[in-house]
Amino acid sequence: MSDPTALTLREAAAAIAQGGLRAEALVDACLDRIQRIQPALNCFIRVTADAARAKARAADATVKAGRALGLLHGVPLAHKDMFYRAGEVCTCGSKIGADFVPDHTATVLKRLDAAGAVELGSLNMAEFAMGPTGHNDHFGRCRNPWNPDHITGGSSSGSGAAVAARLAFGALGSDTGGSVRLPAAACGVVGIKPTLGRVSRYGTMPLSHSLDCVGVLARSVGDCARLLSVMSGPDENDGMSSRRPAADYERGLDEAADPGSLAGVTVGVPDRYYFDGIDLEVAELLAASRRVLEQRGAKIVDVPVGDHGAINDLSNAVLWPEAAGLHLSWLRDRPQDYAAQTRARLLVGLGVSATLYGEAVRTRARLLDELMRDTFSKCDVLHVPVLKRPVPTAAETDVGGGAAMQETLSQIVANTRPFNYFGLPGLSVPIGFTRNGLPQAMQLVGRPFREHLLFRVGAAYEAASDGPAARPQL
Amino acid sequence: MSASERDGLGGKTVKEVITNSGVKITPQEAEAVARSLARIHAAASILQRSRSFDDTGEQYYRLLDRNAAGETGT
Repeated sequence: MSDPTALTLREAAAAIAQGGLRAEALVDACLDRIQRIQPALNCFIRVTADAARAKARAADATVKAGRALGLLHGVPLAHKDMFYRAGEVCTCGSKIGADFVPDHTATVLKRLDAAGAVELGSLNMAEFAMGPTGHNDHFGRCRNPWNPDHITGGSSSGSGAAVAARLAFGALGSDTGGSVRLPAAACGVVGIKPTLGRVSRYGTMPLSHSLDCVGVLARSVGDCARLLSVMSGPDENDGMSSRRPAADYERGLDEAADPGSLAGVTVGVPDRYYFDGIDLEVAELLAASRRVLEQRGAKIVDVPVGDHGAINDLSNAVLWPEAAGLHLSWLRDRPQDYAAQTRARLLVGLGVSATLYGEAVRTRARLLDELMRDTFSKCDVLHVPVLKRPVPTAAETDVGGGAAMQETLSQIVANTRPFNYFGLPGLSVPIGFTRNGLPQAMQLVGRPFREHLLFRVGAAYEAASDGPAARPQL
Repeated sequence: MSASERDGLGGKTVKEVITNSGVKITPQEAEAVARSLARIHAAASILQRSRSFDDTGEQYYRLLDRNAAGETGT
């Protein structure tokens, strides 16, 4: 096989299982690539080459012995540096966490391990997962594989860049306001933020317990579906995880390639907010993506939505008090160890009254009810942009903690954060490139726990547009 | 919600509130926080009009479950 890193995750897993590809050879190919490309992109915080090679050799021995294999047997992955593994440093992208060694392992890592995945190392991220651009004052900015002058999106910056650069076949991320969907969109890969509670958060760095979701990025819709199938399901260690059993999200995806596969699916286009002020080029790409869905049999309709701009702002009354509560002792004792932007955002949480926080949390019930009644009664899936503008340069978003910070960052998360407030699943799927050479994406949003339908629509689009996303030349 | 909460807090008040929590903050930082809070309060004044005790955090999770029907089909 000439370059096994060019395979999708599912293709790689099949090749290993069938004996056509050794896991050790695949891991070596990824490690060689990491060594060559890491200096340019700064995706990794830590590479665990020896452990990865050892696990790959064990995976090959299992294949040779003819024993049962997991869905990810021998497949190299890497994860945002906020998923705990007992006894190993987990920095959370911060100086404060530089020496943090957890005593337990995240449930989601245990599930990936049990499915046979091989971990290559830990990925760069925004400090404490608080930043949508990919800047990091402690570990350096992660750079976009399509053009290193541009942002990767964040906070799962390394996850987006590493998957796009074919350094790993998939990567865990977290999504509290868009942190999976934004880097997926900016780096041209697929990213799923599942329904709140779909994936256990036990052993992952908390930011906002009302909003945090563990998600995943990969090169194709099918790859994301397989990873979420492995990751999802109840967990007695996480009281907030859903009791719903794990689902097989790959089921029926192969039929998504059939013409007319979206017959009976209604795709809703919000009549306000999500397209307000959108860049013309981005709007054209989104319109073209809707035409593809229509050609596959979907019905496209305009649907009403409430004041999601206000919901975007109100979600700050939930996110920042919860985050500030977690960080209070460090804000008191080690303020100098935070980047200016991280600290500035946390301070907002200290100014939100308990009454306002409580109301913002309880208002979710009524607003979700209205969204289901007024919007999702008219469609199965929402179709909105992830970003309203072409992916910006790092310089354009280098606002630190200064006066332009709030406005700049608010614009970046404007189309992702409302869905964290609602707790709904969102899938980011690449739809082409703007003239600056950077990718763009559509965001498909569904009813609670309807990830299966998002994958089906995404896979139908992918099949009609010549398969998984294009690859950057590196 | 009080009038000051509806309208947001000034930088001076924000500085006092945050300093009381034991965290140091400069006047410039307090002004920036005040601007963010004004935006949140404006959103809250638009959205928070519930008069029902049934709108609770628990109800939100019940609604997530209730609206999940047909999750493995179309």
